[in-house]
Amino acid sequence: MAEDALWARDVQKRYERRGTQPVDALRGVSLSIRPGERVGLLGRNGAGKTTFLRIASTLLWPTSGEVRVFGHDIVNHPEEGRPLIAVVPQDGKPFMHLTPYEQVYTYLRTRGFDRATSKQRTTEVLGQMGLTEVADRLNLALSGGLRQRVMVATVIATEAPLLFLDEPTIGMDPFARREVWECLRRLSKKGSTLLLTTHYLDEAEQLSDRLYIIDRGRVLVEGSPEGLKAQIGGTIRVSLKGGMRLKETLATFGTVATDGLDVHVILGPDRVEEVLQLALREKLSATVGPVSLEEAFLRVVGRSIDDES
Amino acid sequence: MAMAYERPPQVGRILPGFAIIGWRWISRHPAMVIGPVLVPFIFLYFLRLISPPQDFPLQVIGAMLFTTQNIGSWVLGDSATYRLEAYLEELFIASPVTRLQYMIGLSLSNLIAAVPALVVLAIVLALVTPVPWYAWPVLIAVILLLWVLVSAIGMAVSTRIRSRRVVWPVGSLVFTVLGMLSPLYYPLSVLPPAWQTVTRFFPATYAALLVQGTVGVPGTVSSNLWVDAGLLGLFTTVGTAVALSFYQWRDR
Amino acid sequence: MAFSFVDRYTWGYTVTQLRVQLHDFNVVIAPILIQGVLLIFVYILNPALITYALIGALVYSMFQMGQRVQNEAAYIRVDSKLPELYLPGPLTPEGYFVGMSLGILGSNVGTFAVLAGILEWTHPLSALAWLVLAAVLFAVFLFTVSLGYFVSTLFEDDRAIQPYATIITNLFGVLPPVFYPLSLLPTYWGPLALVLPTSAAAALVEAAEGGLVSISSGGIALAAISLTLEALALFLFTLAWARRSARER
Repeated sequence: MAEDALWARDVQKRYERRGTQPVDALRGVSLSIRPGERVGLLGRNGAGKTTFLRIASTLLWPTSGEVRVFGHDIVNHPEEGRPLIAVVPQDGKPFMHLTPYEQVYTYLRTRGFDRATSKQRTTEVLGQMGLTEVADRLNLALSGGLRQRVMVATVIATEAPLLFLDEPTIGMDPFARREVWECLRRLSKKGSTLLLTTHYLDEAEQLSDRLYIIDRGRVLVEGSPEGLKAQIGGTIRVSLKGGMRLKETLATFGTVATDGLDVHVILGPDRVEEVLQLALREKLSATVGPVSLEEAFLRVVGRSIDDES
Repeated sequence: MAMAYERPPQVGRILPGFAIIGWRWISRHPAMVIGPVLVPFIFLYFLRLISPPQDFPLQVIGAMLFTTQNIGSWVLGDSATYRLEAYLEELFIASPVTRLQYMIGLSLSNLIAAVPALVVLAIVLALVTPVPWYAWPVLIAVILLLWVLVSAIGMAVSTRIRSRRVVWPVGSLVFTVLGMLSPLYYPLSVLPPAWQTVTRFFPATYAALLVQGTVGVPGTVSSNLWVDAGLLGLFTTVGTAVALSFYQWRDR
Repeated sequence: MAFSFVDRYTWGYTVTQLRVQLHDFNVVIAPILIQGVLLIFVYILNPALITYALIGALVYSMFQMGQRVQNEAAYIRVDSKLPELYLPGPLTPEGYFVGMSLGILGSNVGTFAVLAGILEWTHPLSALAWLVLAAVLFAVFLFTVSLGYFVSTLFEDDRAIQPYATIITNLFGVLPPVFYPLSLLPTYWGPLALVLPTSAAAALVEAAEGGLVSISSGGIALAAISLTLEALALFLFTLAWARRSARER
């Protein structure tokens, strides 16, 4: 049986800085990712996503726990796993005095690729990422979104078996994001495994086979985007403008959430008609749509916050 | 054990990539070449005014070694920038590049910026004093050893820096102390005996004594050049090993 | 009003910068140690020059404030984009420049105190010389922070500034007679040295302290007028430049 691309058990991280209270960033995270899978790590700011990603990509020591990359223990022997990974760091910036072409090419050379392969891959990836036109401009002269694309291109070009991407499309326009998604899907088809963190839930839904939602250093829930959405009690959301006065009645159809005077009901397809008829009778405007991952995320994390408090 | 991945081919060499990074830095910022060429001459002019004229050849050698020492300061600056500001170091950590290779790569890219200054100073040296042929390989070897050592020091210090703001003061301090308090620009003999003992703890002292003795410039302290060479080698090996162990490749 | 650079917002930003600078002990202690090492170096080479070197160290330390402003201004503009936070507000661009300069100066008061203490201990200056020293240091401060701030606005990559900073520091601090007396310089360079702000400053203090250096009254006038004009002109230019460069074109 093939080894997991990434396997982590009970990973803990406590940040201790002199003069400040210690912070438990990870409190026992366990997960596993199969080769070729695309997995998203979701969580609020400070939930521990980046800490976990930095530990798994050998950038940060864990306080305790085990992490394996394709079977290699990268906590104690990071050098065994490093040739198999590449990382897009959060807030990373390319070499400002290089062009995008030089950035990708030199990085491939430093990773040990020969000249011909480096040239070919550089040209290829810049084309896929829509960077051909600016390939010979200095990174310094590029916008923030383009610089981020250069960073992602640099890492994608390695075609490493396991890629870590920490908010890879931050600052990009919707077209650029789609180009990056396409590149990542293509890479995944070639066999690379992806672990990404993102705050864009549409991105997580588009790119991930599986999601882990973490909060306060713990994994809250794990599953496919569809599976997570199903966990919140329905697949359809009916929103009733000014439906606050019907809140209690609506609660008999499904799970209710309020937003000012508006009410959202999450429910199964079989009861949608009844709710719409109620809205008609009460002369309320109603909209119907599929449950979004954002709703699932808010429910899961919100429940965790309630439990803690 | 079954592997579900194809190990990426690593057949090329790592250093050319860093060489391009270094070359592009100086080709796009000419001040990066002009500065290292100009500054030693400004300093040599200053020294010529305030110190005995017979020390000038010794000071030219000092300028070469001091320029080499400055590479350590540039490596410190680059390493700190790439780690704290651009997070580019993370690209290299999560890769087959080892910290030794990364250090050599960064130092190589900065050595390229210092080479024009070293060449000009070598020409000046040949003009102001007769240099025996065997002194040139010694000079080159000493420069290379010092380059490795100061680069390691620069890298090690940079990892302990938490803010870009302190890069300049700390870098200046470390390399000013190492450069000015070693007998690079003055004969060791002008120092009081106790102080001479203190300078024996600075690696650049042996670099200076070795080159001064091999070239045979006036003001050289007669010493055993083989011992100086051995101690410089020892300092470089131990110093680099200590600096590398101090150098944090993975955050804690 | 042409410029508004000393109001309560400027002081507020001065205090902010002071806190930022003092946050790291290295920022405070390193300049003192560097000056100490340079003084030891001059003393080894020529002990007779130590008084000149001490006056020079004070002038050089003040000149370094401009380099600090240059680094800080470039760093927080390019990397942190902080001017974008401060400038669309009551703080004027001139106040931003002046506040930053004063904050950085404040964080380095220790260096000046230590150097002045050593100078007073090794070679007590006359009251006139101290007054002249204070005046020329103020002029050098205006000149250097203006130069530093102006240069900082010319770069989009703050890493690229360092080589220029090194050249500027050496051209103004090491080459002219700052650490050594004017008399060591070939005569034909004398007028040029008296026009350069750093060497003019050192020469004026040395002239005020009778016996340290012999300069004609014409030379003193040249140094005093040059230093004053250069400092004021560059400062006023940079105030205007700060406003002009606050909004990108």
